[in-house]
Amino acid sequence: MINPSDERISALVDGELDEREHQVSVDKLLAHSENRKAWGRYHLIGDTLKRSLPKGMDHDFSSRVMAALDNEPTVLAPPAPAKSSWGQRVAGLAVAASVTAVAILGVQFMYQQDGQTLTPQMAQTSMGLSPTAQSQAARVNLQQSGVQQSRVQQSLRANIQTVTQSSVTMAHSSKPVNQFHSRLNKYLVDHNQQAPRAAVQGMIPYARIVAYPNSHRLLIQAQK
Amino acid sequence: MSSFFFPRLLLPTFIFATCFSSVVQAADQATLDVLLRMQTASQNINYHGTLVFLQNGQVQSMRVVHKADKTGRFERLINLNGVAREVVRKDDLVICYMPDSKEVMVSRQKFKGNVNVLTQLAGNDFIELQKNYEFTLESMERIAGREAQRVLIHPKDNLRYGYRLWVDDEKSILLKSDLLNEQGESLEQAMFADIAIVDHIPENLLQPTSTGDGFTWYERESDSSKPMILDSDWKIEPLPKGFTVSSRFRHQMLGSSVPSEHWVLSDGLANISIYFEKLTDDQDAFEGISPMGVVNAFGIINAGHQITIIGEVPANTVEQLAHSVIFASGVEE
Repeated sequence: MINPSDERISALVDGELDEREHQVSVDKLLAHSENRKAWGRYHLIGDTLKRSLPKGMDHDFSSRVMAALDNEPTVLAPPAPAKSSWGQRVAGLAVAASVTAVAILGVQFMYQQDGQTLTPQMAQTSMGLSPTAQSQAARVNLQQSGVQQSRVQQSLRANIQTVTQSSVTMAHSSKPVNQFHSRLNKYLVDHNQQAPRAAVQGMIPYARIVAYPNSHRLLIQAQK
Repeated sequence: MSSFFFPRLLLPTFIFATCFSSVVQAADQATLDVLLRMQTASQNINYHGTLVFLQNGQVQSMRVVHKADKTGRFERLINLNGVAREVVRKDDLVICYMPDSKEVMVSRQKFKGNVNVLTQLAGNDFIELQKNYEFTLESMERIAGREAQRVLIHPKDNLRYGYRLWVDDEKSILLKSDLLNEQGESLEQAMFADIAIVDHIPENLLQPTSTGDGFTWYERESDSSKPMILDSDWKIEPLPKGFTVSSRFRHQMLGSSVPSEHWVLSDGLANISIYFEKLTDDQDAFEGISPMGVVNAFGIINAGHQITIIGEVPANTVEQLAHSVIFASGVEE
């Protein structure tokens, strides 16, 4: 069974630890060798899914990095400024243990959707924008993400939000956005139930219901 | 009389058999066999395992339990990361626990049994499917420690997604499934990291973790959904290529007091739901696209109705559909 730290490691791999938690917990979490191994495994699972595994696998990369760090002379330097961006911290980690794979994973996904011309999906959250204005916003967004490609780590968070943002206009609504999502959930559940189950995908439609919260959460963050 | 009757009866069968054998080539038949075996396996094999799910660049893992025997089909999925959303299924009854919104949704499938399962893929329907998808039997690959046969189902246009399936060579269980766009790029992946095929599933593995205490329960009586309707105030013209209206219902949405009409479109693999609900003063309307992973939803307001289109199809398909909806009240079909 999964333990609480496994869950947080998974959140770390997914880039989902929230900002406050992130600063303290990464160090704490990865201080234990078991946790470091779990962290390595989760990345491996992600890489496997992305079929991005190198031919020769190093299953214990993290412990070799830690050993190398232990052998490094201690450098006495002023602590980093307290207010560093999430992206910078990810970049820091990347140097330590190649977490860039995750960052690229997020960005690649966005380009795939780009290739599929899901422009409305890429549009800025737009309250009352016309469809034309929305697709213009989408184009601007895509150009921006092109620029960001060279700074993958720094733009990771923004990019994932772009992917999951919806461009929904609420007509005469004063209710919070999560009520809207609760309603969409009901449509999703009903659709999965009433539509004949996609024969080839088995229980995957249910996996989508179970999996939805994370993108949902990002979506709400993006709209704040 | 009888000599006249028999040829008339047999002729279509003969033509059908001739067409069938000439169109379903040997290679296609092999692919169809793998898919049919997979469908049968889901009805009589017990297993549990960890499913890894990749969507929107996020990896999540889920516990999956599947039991199928004479007493029925049971499934349980629970997310092991973040919010412990959980789905428990007993035959046509599905209960979804959503701790994030403190809601429980209870619903019953209108399609009893496994109407879709074998009939959709078998025979003539397979030829229909091949108009929209190309089926290829690919190489073997090892997944979750087991040998799996890869099957590619490639969409012939951008109105639907494709699939790459990894089907267990011995037990025909679906071990891995990718959802693909027209370019063959993966949009969503689900894969068993480990799986145990067992004779018996202990009852406790199927019990939901959540009690749903303090949650809002949404439940619809099974008989509140009337079967197919023939008359409708709505028309959809044109339908997206390859899709047909597979059913139309009139029912109440979960958590809604307004009766709604519900159409289901299908191309044999992908399904799209369209909900027509009369707008009321206390109900919020919405317009625009809202992606939920690979599922896209599109809202539009037409003739005082909220129309919601949702399906596991690309965004352009739901958007195109939204603009094809025509209010045709009083018009005889």
